[in-house]
Amino acid sequence: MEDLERFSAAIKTVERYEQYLYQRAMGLALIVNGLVGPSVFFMVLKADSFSALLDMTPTMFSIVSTTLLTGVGIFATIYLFASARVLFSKVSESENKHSLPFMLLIFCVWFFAFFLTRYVPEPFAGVGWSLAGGLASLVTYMIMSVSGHMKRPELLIIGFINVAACLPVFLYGDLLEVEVAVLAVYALSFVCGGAYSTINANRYLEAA
Amino acid sequence: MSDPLEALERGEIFSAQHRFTIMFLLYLHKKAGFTELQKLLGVTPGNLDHHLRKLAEAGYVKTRHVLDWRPLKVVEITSLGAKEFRDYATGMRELLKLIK
Repeated sequence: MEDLERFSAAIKTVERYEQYLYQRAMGLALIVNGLVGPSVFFMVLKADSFSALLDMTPTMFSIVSTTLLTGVGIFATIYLFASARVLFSKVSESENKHSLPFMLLIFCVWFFAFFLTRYVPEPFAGVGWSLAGGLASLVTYMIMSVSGHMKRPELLIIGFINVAACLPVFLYGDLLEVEVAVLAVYALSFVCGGAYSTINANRYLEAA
Repeated sequence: MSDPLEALERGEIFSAQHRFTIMFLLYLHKKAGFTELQKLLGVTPGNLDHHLRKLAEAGYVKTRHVLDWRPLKVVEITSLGAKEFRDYATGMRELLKLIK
């Protein structure tokens, strides 16, 4: 009986550690998304100025930036989902089976949200990007809540901030200025959400 | 596979709750930070150091210092530690089966 209690206590501790690792991975992925995405997008917007600095044609510069953006996006997504896979595959195999469809659903939501931004008209590209990030965060929050997984309030806040930041675009005339402002809000919300997630991860480390 | 009872005797060092938890965690994740372990277990640095020294003397774990954005002490499981812990856990399982 004593041995069973020892096993049980160890499993609980390992579960807390894995929650901590996942929270940290999620925080890092959000920060990377918030920093790299808008930076590269801003460079694409101002391709003329940046390409002159690097002695490249604006088209070439846009291709390089977009490739970089796609690469970082794929890296951040794989990192996050690999961490989630590790978390749900270690301690409980039954939970792993339960979680996999939801993880795939979340992956599809993010993939399609950003994939659809390709069809947004050029002047609204930044707004479309921000709207995609906001809506994907909100849907992820809902999926995680409904499926009984951890509720992530930072996703809800990021989602609302990004969706709300897109609304003034319909009232304001200068689209380029609005695009830059929307990208700044996008970056700030994701970085703050990531920082919150990372700081909050320490809560799981504290002994119960 | 080795004899369960023999494995349990060899794994006497794991009978302490904290040492067992440390080995279980390292068996699954290979390494962990000293500070993270300390917070997880809710022990003082001295207490954790004592448990780690016991495990290190048996050759089951090793510690090393790495440079991150701040210096970190990282605890790693050795291949011997992983083998001994696996035998110990298997031995426990076999015994529990017999009791059933």
